[in-house]
Amino acid sequence: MKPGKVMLLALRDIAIGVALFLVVSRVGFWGLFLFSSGDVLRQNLLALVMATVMLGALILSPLIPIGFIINSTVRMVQYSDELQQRIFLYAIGFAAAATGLLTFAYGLLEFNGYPPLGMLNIISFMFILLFASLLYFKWRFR
Amino acid sequence: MKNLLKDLRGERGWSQAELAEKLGVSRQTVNAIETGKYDPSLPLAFKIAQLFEKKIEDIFSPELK
Repeated sequence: MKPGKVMLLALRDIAIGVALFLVVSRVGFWGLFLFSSGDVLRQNLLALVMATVMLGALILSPLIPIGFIINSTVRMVQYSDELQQRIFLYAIGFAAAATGLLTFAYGLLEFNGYPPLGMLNIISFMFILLFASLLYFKWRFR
Repeated sequence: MKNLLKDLRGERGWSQAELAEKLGVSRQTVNAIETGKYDPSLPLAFKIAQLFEKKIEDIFSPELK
């Protein structure tokens, strides 16, 4: 498969993921609004259960686009040539190791009173490092 | 590892993009091989040798003779 087509497929998956995220989060908000209005929650156990399910769906909805993004990334790597695969391997290795080292260092700081760092921040940090290291290794093999 | 890929490609009047298309790799990979920044795998080296109808050792060598 040509690199351009792989990229198009990956972009399509990301677009589907974002669209799904929007739909799922809107449905979740709408459900919460519907079932939490008035005294419905106090009077109706079913409404309470459904609202809880909606809340769960809303909280977990970012996983859907993330799943699509992971899928498209795997496909991009799978159909890349050997140099691109090597670049990705270097980049993900560097990002994982650097994230581990830096978050471990920050963990030590936390013991000494620094504010706690959330898991979501760590994952975002890792993705930023992955992107930066991809650019670096692509530049190195230019 | 040194190679004669650039010369062989030049003899045939192919661009890096054309050679990449024939080998089924990206243009960046062809460029990286030509500049010696990346050594191809054995299957890719065989593909290159077949394309130019030469032996692998005629194209790739630790040092140019």
